[in-house]
Amino acid sequence: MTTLMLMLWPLLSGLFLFCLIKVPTRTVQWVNIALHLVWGVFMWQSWAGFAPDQLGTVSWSWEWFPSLGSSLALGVDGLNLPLIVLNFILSLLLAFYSLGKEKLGASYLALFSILNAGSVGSLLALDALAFYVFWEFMLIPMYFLIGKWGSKNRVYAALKFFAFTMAGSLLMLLAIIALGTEYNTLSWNALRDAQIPYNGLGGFQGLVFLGFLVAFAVKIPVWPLHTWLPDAHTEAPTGASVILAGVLLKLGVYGIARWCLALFPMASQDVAIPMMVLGAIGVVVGSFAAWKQTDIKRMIAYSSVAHLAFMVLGLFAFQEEALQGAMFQNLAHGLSTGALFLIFGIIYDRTHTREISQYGGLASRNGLLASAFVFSAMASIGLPGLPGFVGEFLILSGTFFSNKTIALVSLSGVLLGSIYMLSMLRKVVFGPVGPTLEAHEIRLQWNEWVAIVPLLVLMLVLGLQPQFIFEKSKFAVEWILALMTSGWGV
Amino acid sequence: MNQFFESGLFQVSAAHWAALAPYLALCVGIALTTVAAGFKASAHIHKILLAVSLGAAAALACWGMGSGDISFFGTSLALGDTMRWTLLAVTSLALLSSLFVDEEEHGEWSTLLLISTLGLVLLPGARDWVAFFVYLETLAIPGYVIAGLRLRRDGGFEAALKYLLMGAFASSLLLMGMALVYGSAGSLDYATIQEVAVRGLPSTLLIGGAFLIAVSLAFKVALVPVHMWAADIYQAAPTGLAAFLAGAGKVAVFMAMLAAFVGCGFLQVETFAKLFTFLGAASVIVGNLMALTQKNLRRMLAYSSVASAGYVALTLPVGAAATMAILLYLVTYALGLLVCFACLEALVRITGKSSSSTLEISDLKQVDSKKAGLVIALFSLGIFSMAGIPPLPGFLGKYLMISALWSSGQLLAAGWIVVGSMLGLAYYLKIMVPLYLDAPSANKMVSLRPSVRGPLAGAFLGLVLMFAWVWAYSQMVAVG
Amino acid sequence: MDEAFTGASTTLLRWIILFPLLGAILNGLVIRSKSLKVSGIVATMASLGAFVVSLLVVSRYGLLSEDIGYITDQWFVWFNVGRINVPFWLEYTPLTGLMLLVVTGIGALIHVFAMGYMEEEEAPFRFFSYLNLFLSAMLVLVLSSNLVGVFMGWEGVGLCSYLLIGYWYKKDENTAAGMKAFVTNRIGDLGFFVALFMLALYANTLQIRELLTFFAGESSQLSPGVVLCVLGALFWASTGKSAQFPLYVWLPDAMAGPTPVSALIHAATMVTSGIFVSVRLWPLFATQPLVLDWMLWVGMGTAWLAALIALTQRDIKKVLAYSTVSQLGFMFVALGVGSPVAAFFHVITHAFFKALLFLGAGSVIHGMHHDQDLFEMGGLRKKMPFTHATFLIGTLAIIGFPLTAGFFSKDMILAKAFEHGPLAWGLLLGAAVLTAFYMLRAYTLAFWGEPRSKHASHAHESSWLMTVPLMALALGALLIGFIETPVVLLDIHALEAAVKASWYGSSGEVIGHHAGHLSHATEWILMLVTSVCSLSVAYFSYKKFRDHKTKESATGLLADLSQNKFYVDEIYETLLLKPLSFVAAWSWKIIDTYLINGTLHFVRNTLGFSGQFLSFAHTGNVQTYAWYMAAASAVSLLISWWVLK
Repeated sequence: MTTLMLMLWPLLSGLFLFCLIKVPTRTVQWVNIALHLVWGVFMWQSWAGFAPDQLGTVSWSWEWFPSLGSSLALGVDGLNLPLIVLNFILSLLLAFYSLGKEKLGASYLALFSILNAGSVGSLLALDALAFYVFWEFMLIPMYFLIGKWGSKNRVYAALKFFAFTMAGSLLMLLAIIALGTEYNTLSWNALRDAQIPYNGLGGFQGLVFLGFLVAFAVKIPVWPLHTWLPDAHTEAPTGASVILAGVLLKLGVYGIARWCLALFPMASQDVAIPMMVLGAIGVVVGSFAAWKQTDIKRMIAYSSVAHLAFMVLGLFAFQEEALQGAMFQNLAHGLSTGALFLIFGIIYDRTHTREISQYGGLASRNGLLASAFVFSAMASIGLPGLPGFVGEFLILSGTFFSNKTIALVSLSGVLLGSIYMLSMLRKVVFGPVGPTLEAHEIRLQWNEWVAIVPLLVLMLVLGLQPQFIFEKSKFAVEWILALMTSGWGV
Repeated sequence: MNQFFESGLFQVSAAHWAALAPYLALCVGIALTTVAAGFKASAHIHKILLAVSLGAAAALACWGMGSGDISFFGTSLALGDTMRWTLLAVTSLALLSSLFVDEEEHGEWSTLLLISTLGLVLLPGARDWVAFFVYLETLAIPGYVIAGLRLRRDGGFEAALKYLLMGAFASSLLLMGMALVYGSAGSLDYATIQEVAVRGLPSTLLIGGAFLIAVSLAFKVALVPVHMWAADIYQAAPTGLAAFLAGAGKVAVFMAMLAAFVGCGFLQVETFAKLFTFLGAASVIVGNLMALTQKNLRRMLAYSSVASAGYVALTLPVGAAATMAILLYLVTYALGLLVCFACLEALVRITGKSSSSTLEISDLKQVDSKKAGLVIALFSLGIFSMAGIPPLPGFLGKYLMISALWSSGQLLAAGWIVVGSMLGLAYYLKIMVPLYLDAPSANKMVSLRPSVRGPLAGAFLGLVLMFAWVWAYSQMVAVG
Repeated sequence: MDEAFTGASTTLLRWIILFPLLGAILNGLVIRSKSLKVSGIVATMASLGAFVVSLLVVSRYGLLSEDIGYITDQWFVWFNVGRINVPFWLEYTPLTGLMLLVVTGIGALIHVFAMGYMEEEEAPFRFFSYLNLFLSAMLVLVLSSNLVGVFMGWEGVGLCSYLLIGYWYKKDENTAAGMKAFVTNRIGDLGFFVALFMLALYANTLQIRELLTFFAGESSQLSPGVVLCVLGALFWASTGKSAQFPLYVWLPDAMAGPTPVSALIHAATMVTSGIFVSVRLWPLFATQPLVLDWMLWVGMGTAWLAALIALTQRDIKKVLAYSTVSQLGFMFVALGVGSPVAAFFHVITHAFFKALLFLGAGSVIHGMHHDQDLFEMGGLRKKMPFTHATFLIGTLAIIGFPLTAGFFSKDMILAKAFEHGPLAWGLLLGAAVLTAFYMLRAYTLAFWGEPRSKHASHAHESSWLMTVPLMALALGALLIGFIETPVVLLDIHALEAAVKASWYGSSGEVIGHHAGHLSHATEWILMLVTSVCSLSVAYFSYKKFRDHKTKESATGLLADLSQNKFYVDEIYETLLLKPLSFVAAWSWKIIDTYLINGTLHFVRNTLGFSGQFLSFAHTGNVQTYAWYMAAASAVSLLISWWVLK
């Protein structure tokens, strides 16, 4: 029952918030926080009640289309629990962040809750059709969040976001339909046990696998399909940027682990090297692009492209360290890039410009905020003691175990990461005070600090004590890797 | 005189009466509305009569559900469960579109609507081409008149004349086709035609006739290249009735085509199936591309309905297995279209424009989201359902059609449907931009005419019905 | 090896790290006081706490006695995934004990000095919190039992040096210097990453103790290629951190930071971490003579290059910075000739006298109101007697004046070099002579002759807060030499015993290295020759610069070359930075805006265009519609006829 409420509660609170459109924004924002706290209770229950060897256990299901062999099956397991909790944490902090902001009224918060429902729903879904429905369902609120509350050319960015993801997911729809008609069941457990036979990438399993893979590759985004991310991030409002970087991109990584690796292990092995090469290219080109940006949010977006390219490496290295590292990097990247976007969002609310040349000397205008910004930047370039290092180290060592050259090429990402992040810090945080920081007073209210500090604390905790996360996803990761060598369906 | 009665044509048992009851209810309705028109009754009376007769027909159909197939007039009319589902669909569409017809419309629209509905519900049941032609004309001729109801404004006259002429051409082609088929098969009955077409070597005459029939029916559902009339007629006709023509018209004609072509075995002929795949693909491309360039809202929706007809044409070659998928898609699409037309009518009454025919996409900017919030929300839901975005019902129809195509091995057609929905996305989102995303323009045109409840109710009921149909499908394991 | 204390676990070691960490948190987040005294005292207390606990540990478990094994402090498990098991455990061996004392001792003194030096600072808590953070990161590096823990300390000190170099962030070039330090260190750290991956893959352990026992066994099944890669990678990491050629360029620029920072980080502790880790993993290096030779010649080259550059530097801190690079070169030469004891001995002595020299320079700069140009100074010995005395002791120590710390450690290296081969000894001697020349040049220019500028004439002696640490370090520079004396003089080998005892029982013998033994006579001759050479050059340099009047420094081709650091920075700029930045700019613009976005916009435009094109076909008059229908039916008839032909 709690698993259903995980998804249903944000949906209901979203609809409820829509009815409060006439209510003054301040109260609506407090109501939103209260709703989030109730959601937190369900989160806590599912986190506490989680048995480490849960994998694909359907804890709630409703047979909605028996003739298609599909039912709305929801279940919590090692793969999706950390991400769901990350989604909750980021959303709760953003609820606090939105306090007192006139622009972020009832409709914004409602769309946000519905987006949460969609993302948690697709994380929980253990049925292909249910997964697809939630996967598409997320697009609508995100489209409006970017489109209505974004900055200047938000319409272009929103349409590009919608079109990219939609194009990818239509291929996935074909794949799901193929699976449905071929095995007349769409439940993940059944498909997994069916051990779909594999005869080359051109065969049935190959094509269906590619359908899934492309949809997730667009979402991650893997290198050549990434140009929607900088536009979406630059134009999206702070809240949408944080959730987009923190959770939505991770759905691609989660999707590959759940639907590509688990159902089509043999096909994944054939496609491993090309994907890892794309990952390595993504790391290098992403870092290059991040180095040369003049718009801060666009720079952080490209750094996300580089970080997520690391995760693609982790996924397709088929080593326990790499896959655990990738799953952990989901959280690490979510926290560090989330913090970067949040802090810059707070600055942007006052200065309304994203041009790096306008900035400089943040340290002398607001010391504490500057140190928080430097802290998150250090977390994002993988400084040991912060989660980024643990994730990147595991991914790189896993990749090294499976393919040395790719590991060495992507190792340069660690160096390039420090180059672009430090050059950004030099232009934004240090040096003489820039024109826009001269003109605007950066004074934070209490709720903005409440939004930032937990992220920093969480980063420290995950940086020094990541083991409890690895315990959660250990069973699932080992099970997936066991598939790789089981040689089924050949 | 009496052998006329005993000639078997008229053994009328209780089961027959039960099966015929819904259609009789419609005839009673037609009679009552003509009498009411005679007495110059107010529009409310017309609406009530309409609602009563449609409601009765629907209720009787529901009551009669599941009582097996019964054939009438020899074998020319067969009433079965699929027929009842189609009847439910068409009557519900007719009822909803009547909700937001303007008060000043001429009295006869309700009678025309009922006659057309009668024709539509009977057409899929036809089992020989004569019956098919009779029912087709009963639904077409009121359509021409409906198209021209607003004779003097919004290009009503030109639309009506155009529709009439094109209808006449199509009917003549249909007759020509039937003649060829009769010439080669020796009878117009589906069953005998099937024997000739499937067992014996189908002669050129028979296939030529089939092709001609196909082209004429393609006109009826506005498939490319004979789709040109759709935009003008759907723009000029009164909003509600245009939705009925576009939506319900397609539901019944496509189901009839499916029944006919499967019945006569034409679909077994390879090129005949290929013809529809070609027509479908062409409609998907042309329909979507034309919709992309349209400024006028109703013309854009018209071209999107051309594209949706393309999707169904792509799925026709699958044959009987795709009946339920096609019906569900057509109904959800028709309801979606109806919701949009209802919202357009509501917006017209809110913004005080003369009629929805001239509503441009850019005009939507002047809609004040505070006042017309509900209308805009319903409008977006209708749009997203037509675009096929899950969790709205439009998605399920597309899903079923693509899986039907996949299981019958026609991957290319499935690909076209996917490409089409991708293209469709572009112009559906174009509508969202002025509604939500652009900076709201200063001058807000708001003059709330009291009668906005009608279209709103129509739109809301349309959405509810959509979900009801999805729920009904989920309960139904396998139907006809 | 007596098992008395081996493997005993304690919880004391973690307090050595926690004290400075606590100090950093208190200063940085809790107190944040504007007053120098409060933040200074908190920081100094924290570093003293660490020093006291280190003393406690050393006194309890002994330092120089033979029978020491190792003590572990099983703090917490960092992460343990698949093959990579990283328990964050601390380990105490005599080697780390010594390093602990040096780091915390000198650290505490430098904190006291900083309290005097950082006067007109508006946010002193920030400086002291970074200083404490650095100390705790360095202690993590020293104490960690796992190579990944060492790497955590390794990058932690890199971060703190970045923050401290760029401490005065208002001027952009300070931040640029900080960034240059961090990035160059990171280039080195890539080597550390590779070493960690190789060890995890082939030795599948990252615990230093297990690695040494794993390698010590003759039957170490690792292919020599793998060991070569690991050691090469580790050495590359050390060149980054310990500023050897080619990654030394960041150290001179790091002088942009406050002088206490240069003293602590860029003289005493961080820069020696590369050598410390090499000494700690010495049994690995001992198995690869090729890597040792590589170290020898890189060290020699760096020693010479840095010494040459230091000859003509005008800024006193730049002279000391290049002298540090040169001395580090000496240490790597010591490692290269196969004597980790000599290298570590030089690390300790260098820590004392180089910290002393830097603090002396700091006191001079403080007196000269932040004017660091040697040619603006002069005659300061009268105005700053204490600083002059201590700076003199430091100079004598570094040039190897007999019985000073430098004398013992440098002679040991020279003796070991002589054992290795006369060529190495000769070159090293040359470097030592150069050291003597530039050190005396700096000393005499600063303290002798007449004041050459207004600042120099009104210079005043620094407060006791700064002179007391100077005197303490001077004492150290004089006495520390006596922990390891050559056979002919007092024959004390305490350091050798301690270092040899910290390899968990594996012997440090270099394979294929004949342990040649110098006779007493040759030792005496060597000592005599080195002292005579360096002292004579020193006297020559003293005479040359004693009465230097003008502000101009020497000119001429060689002098200009050396003045501009042989244009190494400019070469890096054109060869590495410009092409990388060009590729970055163009790769992004071409791929993203033209290729990917270009194609997308092209597709969108063609769709729109074809839509317009199609609308021409929709003329709107009924005749064309009828024609279309007729055409459609004709075509269909044709098809049906053609099909069945």
